[in-house]
Parts: sequence; C-alpha cells; structure tokens
Amino acid sequence: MAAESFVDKATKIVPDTIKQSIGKLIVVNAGETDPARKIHYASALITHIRSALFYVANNNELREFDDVLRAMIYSIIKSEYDPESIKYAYNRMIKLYEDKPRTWYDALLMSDIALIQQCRTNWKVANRTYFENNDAWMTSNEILADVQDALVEVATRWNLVIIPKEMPFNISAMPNLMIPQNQTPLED
Amino acid sequence: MAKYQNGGGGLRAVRNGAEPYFRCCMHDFETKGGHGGTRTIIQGDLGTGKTTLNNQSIMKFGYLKRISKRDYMNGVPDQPHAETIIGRGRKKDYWNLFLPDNFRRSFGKEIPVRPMRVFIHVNDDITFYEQQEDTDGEERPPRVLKPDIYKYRDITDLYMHIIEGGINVVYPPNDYELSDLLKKRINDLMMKSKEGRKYLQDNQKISVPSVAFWYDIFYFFISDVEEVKEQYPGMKIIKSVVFVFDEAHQIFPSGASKPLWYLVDNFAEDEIIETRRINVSIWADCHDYRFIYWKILGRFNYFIFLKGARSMIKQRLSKIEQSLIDQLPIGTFLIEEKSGEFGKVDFDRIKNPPQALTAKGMK
Repeated sequence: MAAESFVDKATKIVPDTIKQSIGKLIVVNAGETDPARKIHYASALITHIRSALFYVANNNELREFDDVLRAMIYSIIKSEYDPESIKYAYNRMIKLYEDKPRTWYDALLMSDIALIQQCRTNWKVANRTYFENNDAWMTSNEILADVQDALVEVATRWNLVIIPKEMPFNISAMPNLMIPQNQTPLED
Repeated sequence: MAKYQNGGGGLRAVRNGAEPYFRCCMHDFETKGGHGGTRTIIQGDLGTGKTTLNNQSIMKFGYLKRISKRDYMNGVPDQPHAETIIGRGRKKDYWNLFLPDNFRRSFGKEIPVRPMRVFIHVNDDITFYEQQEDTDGEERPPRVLKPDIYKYRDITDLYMHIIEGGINVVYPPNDYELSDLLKKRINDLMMKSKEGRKYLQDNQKISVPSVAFWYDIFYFFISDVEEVKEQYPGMKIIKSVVFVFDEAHQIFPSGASKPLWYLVDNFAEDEIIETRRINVSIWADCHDYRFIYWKILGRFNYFIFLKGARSMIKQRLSKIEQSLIDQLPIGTFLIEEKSGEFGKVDFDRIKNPPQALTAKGMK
C-alpha cells in the first residue's frame, strides 16, 4: 500500500479528542441570493471557524515536530502565492521553529489558521468591491464562492458542523459529547 | 402557519430548528451571563419516537463553564462539557442501549460510550433482563444484564455516587415513605394545628408513591446539598444536571389526588423555579400536555412536538398550529422556544436497537 501523502492526511478527518470535543454547531443564514447578505454570511462563518481553530490551538498539548514544512507549503499553495498569506505562513513557521516540537497535526492546524486568515483577506476584498461599487456584485460573489468552499473544507476537517437555516437539520449532525469526567462527587 | 413563513408551504416552509435544539441541549451558568437550567417537554403519540429522541439527545447534553451559550453561538471559543444525566428507571426501559456492547452495535465503535450507573435502593432486590430474539424458531432465554449497579441508602448516598458527565439511571425505592421535609410542607399548606387529626406527625410513617422521591431529590439539589457539603468538605457539587423523565405525567400528574396534589402544586409553585438557578434542567416527555399539571407546564421553556401531539396555541404557550403538527411525519419534530422561534428537526431510527429490558423486582 502506498504511503499516505500529506494531502491525503490533510483532507481526511483528523482523529483527535480535542478536535472531536470541540464539535461545534454553526447555524448560519445561508442560501441568500442578495450579495450583501452573502457577505454577512461569509463573515459569520469566518468568525466561527477562526475562533474554533484558535481554541483548539490554545488548548492543545505540544507534540513532536513533524511535517511542518510540508504543511506550510500546502498552505502556500492553497493561498495561491498570495504575498500576504506567504508572509503570514512564514511568520507562523518561524514561531513553530522557536516553539517546542509539534506533530503534523499541529502543523495542519497552523496551516488551516493561515487558510482562514487568507479567507478573511479575500472576504475584505469582496466586501470592499461590493460596497464601493454596487455593480461589482458579480466579482464579489465569485470571490465569496471560493472563500466559502475553503471555509467548508476547513470546518469539515475540524468537526465543525455548518447548518444553513434553510437546509434540513438532523440531530445526528450535532456532535455527541462523550468525554465525561467519569468521577463521582466524592472523588478527586 | 403560513403567516409566519412569508407565504404558503406548510411544514416545508418551516426553517430548521438547529438553533433552538442546540439551546435546549446546551446549558450555561447564570453567573456567566447565561440562562441556567432549561425545561423541555416533548409531546407525541405512542410509538412516535419519544424514547428514541430521548436516547439520542442524551448524547448531546452539555454545558459551558466559562461563557454563555449566546456568546458561544456568536463565535466566542469554548469547549462544551458532557453533562450529568439522571434518568428515571422504569419497569420496561431502554437504558440498556448504553451498555457498551449494545451501544457499539447501534452507534459503531467510533463513538465512545458515556459511563452509566444504575442506582437501586439498598432494600430492593431488582434484577434486569433483556429479551433476546428467537432464532430458527427456538426460544432463547432472556439475558441477565450486569450494569454497574450501586445500592444507595438515601439521597445523600445516591448523590455522592453519581457519575459526573455520565448517565445515572435511578430506580426509586419500592417502599418510599414521606420525608420530614415533605410532611412539613404539606402541614404548612393544609394549615392544620399540631393536635389536628390530619396533621402529619414526624414519627408517623406514611407510604407514598415514588413521585415523592423525585421531589425529595429536587429539594436536595436545591437546598440540602450545601449542608451535606459542610459535613463532607471533600465532596464536590455537581455543576450541571439534566433530569430525563420518560412518561413525565407520572411525575407531574395533572389530576393528582389531594395529598399528592399538595406535593405537585408545591413543586410547581416553588422548586421548579429554583432549578434554573442551580443549573438543573428537566427533559420530560408525555403523550399529551393535558396530562401534565398546568402550573408545571407553564414553566417549561422549550416545547417539542412529535406526530400526534396537541397544539398549545389556545393556552397561549405556543404559536404552532394543529394543522402544522398534523403534517409531521415520524422522524421529524417541531421545536419551539417559548416566545421565541421554532423550527423542524429530523432524527433517525436507532440501528439494531436492543430489546426493552425488564426490571424484575420493581413494584
């Protein structure tokens, strides 16, 4: 069996207890046709996903350093050689080197944070394009479509469930909370 | 209902109820700007999936320690914690779904099982059996279940052995006697003199239905737990609890006889209000809202309607019309936040569910 490539690793669901436990339901107004509402929807998604990823990052124990460079390259490819994003990824990489060892999992987390940061930058462009010139809604929509694809991809990877209000909702989509303390009031 | 949905469409036009469902399953602390405990009532005809919905929702109950759920829904990061569940054990019940082998058969190996403990009174001798499916025309004997059982002496003992974040199934004592606290409350409410014939004396032993046991547990959570903590300084107070009452009309009956009525009414007037502040939530189900005592019904703040439910629009408790409920298929419910939004939510049948268990020895 061929060795698992980084892209395989990066796109599959990461089995990690912290990721599983974050399992967050994001309910948003989706399916809007009005460009201004679409902008608002994308903004809400970015806020949610960004905060969830930062939460995972801040609550994670440090792990062994591995695959970080590939993750950063992946991040750079995904951001399509955007100078801002490369700069951001580079800064992250330096921070990681200074930091204690981490695994590819943490590297992936960092790369996703970079990706979300890029989404935010693109969202700003879409927002500005639309509000500075109302005729440019098509350009704005096109940017937002890419942004939303990236957002959904990242959200799926980190067990974040996006539920548009117009879509059916099944309770199985809501993550189960299965990490109890397993203690009684008498135990420490 | 069309008038709420900007046009026609009936059930199809109703938005999803992900947000209200999340809010009724996730609890927060009043001290952190949250709401505190919630009270949810499920209505549905027999066989419309009330117990299925209960068992699936049990895995979703959680609480937030640091922030309110409103902030959480707006993107403030935090981690939900699994909430302590206290369920009422019944003679025919389905808690055997949460035994590891049954659970894995139904939900797969990926989802870890929440720990479960069954509480039986020390004087009772209850054993649990699960019927097995017959194979090739041969009748198979029932399987004896061996869950983690704890035999409690009293409510304090029970409290100390509750698994935090786990599922705790409590069987009330077969022979329960009215506690001194409840006697005092009934005496006060009946306004009888100590010398009166109907005055309930402290040394008097009065057998009561197990409903009284549940009220005593609520009183314990509200007031006694602080006193017990003084006796046992190492004891922790359970932060957030959900009581799951299948067939809740047996706990909050609408047509209770007079002595029991005092207990139910007192509970409705006093204790149920306090549950919100101490982060005790109630998740109850019944066949019809009319079977629940009306003052208690008015304190519920989430209503779930399954197929066969009755609209509460005339009671001004809900704005969901009967015509909308009548369109519900099995596997879909409407959830409404009191004076708030409502939506529809789907749920699946549980795969390979175990047979109902029998509690032998329970009276």
